[in-house]
Amino acid sequence: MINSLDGVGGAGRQQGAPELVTGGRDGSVKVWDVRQEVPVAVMEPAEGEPRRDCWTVAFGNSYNTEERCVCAGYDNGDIKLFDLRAMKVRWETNVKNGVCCVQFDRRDIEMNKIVATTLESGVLVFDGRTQHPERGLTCLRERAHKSTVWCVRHLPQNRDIFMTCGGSGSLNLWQYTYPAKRRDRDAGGDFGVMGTLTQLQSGIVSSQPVSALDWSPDKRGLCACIAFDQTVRVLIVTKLQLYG
Amino acid sequence: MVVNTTKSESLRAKYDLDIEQLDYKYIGQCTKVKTIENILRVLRSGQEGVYPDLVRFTEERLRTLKPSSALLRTEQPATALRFLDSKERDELLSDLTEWKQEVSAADAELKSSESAKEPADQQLPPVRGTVQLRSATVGERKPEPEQKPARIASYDYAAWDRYDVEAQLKLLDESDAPAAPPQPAVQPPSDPAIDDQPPVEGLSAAERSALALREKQKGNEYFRSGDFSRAAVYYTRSINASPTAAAFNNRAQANLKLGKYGSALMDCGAVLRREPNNVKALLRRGIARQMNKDWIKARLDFQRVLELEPNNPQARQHLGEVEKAIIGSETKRSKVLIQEVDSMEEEGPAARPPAAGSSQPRRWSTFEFMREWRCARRSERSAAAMAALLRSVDPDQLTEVLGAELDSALLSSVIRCVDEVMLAQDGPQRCHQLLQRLTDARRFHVVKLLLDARDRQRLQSIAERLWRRGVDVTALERSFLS
Repeated sequence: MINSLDGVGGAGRQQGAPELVTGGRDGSVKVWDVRQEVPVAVMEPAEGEPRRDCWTVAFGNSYNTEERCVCAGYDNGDIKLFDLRAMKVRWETNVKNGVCCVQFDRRDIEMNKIVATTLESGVLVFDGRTQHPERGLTCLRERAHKSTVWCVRHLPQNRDIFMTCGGSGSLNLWQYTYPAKRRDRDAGGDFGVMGTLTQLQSGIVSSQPVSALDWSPDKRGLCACIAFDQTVRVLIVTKLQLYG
Repeated sequence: MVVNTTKSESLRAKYDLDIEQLDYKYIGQCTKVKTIENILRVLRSGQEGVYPDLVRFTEERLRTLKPSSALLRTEQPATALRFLDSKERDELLSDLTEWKQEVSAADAELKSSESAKEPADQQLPPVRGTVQLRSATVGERKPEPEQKPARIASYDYAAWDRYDVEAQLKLLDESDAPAAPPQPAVQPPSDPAIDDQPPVEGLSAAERSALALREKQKGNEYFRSGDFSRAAVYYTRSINASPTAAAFNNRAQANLKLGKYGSALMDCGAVLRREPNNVKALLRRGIARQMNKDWIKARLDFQRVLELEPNNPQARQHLGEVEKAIIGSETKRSKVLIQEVDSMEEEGPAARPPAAGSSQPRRWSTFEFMREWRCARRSERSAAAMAALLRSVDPDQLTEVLGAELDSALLSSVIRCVDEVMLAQDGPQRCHQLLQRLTDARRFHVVKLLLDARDRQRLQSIAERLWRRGVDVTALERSFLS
């Protein structure tokens, strides 16, 4: 069973091969090329290891024709970052709560930020630009929605603004502000420095959990979301141009 | 019940708050954000009793101390359209209708354009070889998870048919190469290989400008995050997809921040050729010139800005500095602070190319003219750009402007430009006049001997066409081809 799916590439839009990635209940993450019937890459636990449920997958770091990463979140709170060029695990961490959704702020630039949302109201922002040899990626934690955060979607017109959807039926709009210096150094090497996260707006749209949302790539601020009350809602967020 | 009591005691105890601290007077005087937040948590829990007024008072106090506190976040129902006041609603709806029309027009254009058909496969990178990765278990971390390619059973003929030997070999090479040196766990933060050239092959004009807009947005994002070199790369990509004044202008600003004043100067020049009165570009060019210690020209730019916007504070400040530098002396070095010339420009596709015929003659110095000429020759539609430049020169001053700079390359490009563009657009008289003036230029009689067969052919064809349209070309032919 497939829990999650993401796509990247294709002529004219982004660089690189047109590929899909799926995350399955059996814990396997499979990358598919649309021109071929069998998966081109499979990432799964070795035999004998416990198989966790993979809840979410996302492409990123696809800034030229070769580089590409997949980020996957699992039900036990694992987040793994697979480098598809080198075919290895680039980074992994555990955030203690099931990871419902991960997304790169843009798929087609160098890895910049990764946002992950979890059960029990966790919103986490990772700085993907600097990876410390031991500490890995630096993280910023926020609590929101007072329930499961189902989904995160970055605004296509501005990567530093994103919306999260909560189990309480609410939507939160966030803006990330960069610190003056994004990188610092300690004995082990460079590590990333996080900025701040500001809540721009918050609104309740349903009495049931809002499970998915997507922005319009053409019209800034236009988005659609679905909730468990079996309703599709179209929303418009105004005054976004004030934030850059 | 017992459990509840212990819990309630523990919340106030947990924050180490005294019962007397839950009081208007104390809260009104307290300036510690943390304490106020803790008091608010205790009050909201209701464990010490319900005091709605005191809660509101505490919230107000917190709002004055720290407006961004997470405790002050409230969730209100999202506004429905029918609850908006009529003015706002009309604005919103008309904006949406406008956008709908725009987007359906763009959609129709894209559908009719050629590249809407399936993109050719050869544009895409090849399918990657099939690989499998057994990841490390949770908790324990293997430094380098081994890579196990899927083994194909010897009897699985269908799979062997699909087996791509070359892809596998390439994969082996790839996996061998990094294994040789002890690979650092983290890739060094070097400059990545971002291509200057976005994938524009086979795209229609509408698609290219949409791509240019997206790349410019990425540039703006990098600029905001303080990464100016990547911002410049993405502005370059935007320009390569479809050049706009806004992208040039933003790249100029990124280059200023990077201290690349020469590049900034050229970018501002590109903007000003498209929009001669662009205040930001003038201001940025002025700053670039000031940093290059070209005081006199910098002063001209700042003066021009003040003509257009008499109250521009930055232009005033810079003009003051430049004037001081001019008056001061060559020995005294003045330090200049760069300030941001406003922010990014959003409007991309509205940039207009220079209108033909609208260019008025201006006084060129030889140096300026040659610099612009070189830019024009390198530009994408070089013939048109050169023609625009030639039109901007007063024919009677051509000899003067060219000075001693006339060489065979320049002469050959002028001939090409007349042949391809100007003869059709500017009429025979103007072309004749231009070529006639060219013969008066210094070194002409030496340079004309260096023209190659192709140029001579072009000249013949120009002369023929001029003659057919009733222009006496005997003098011209004599000076060029004898």
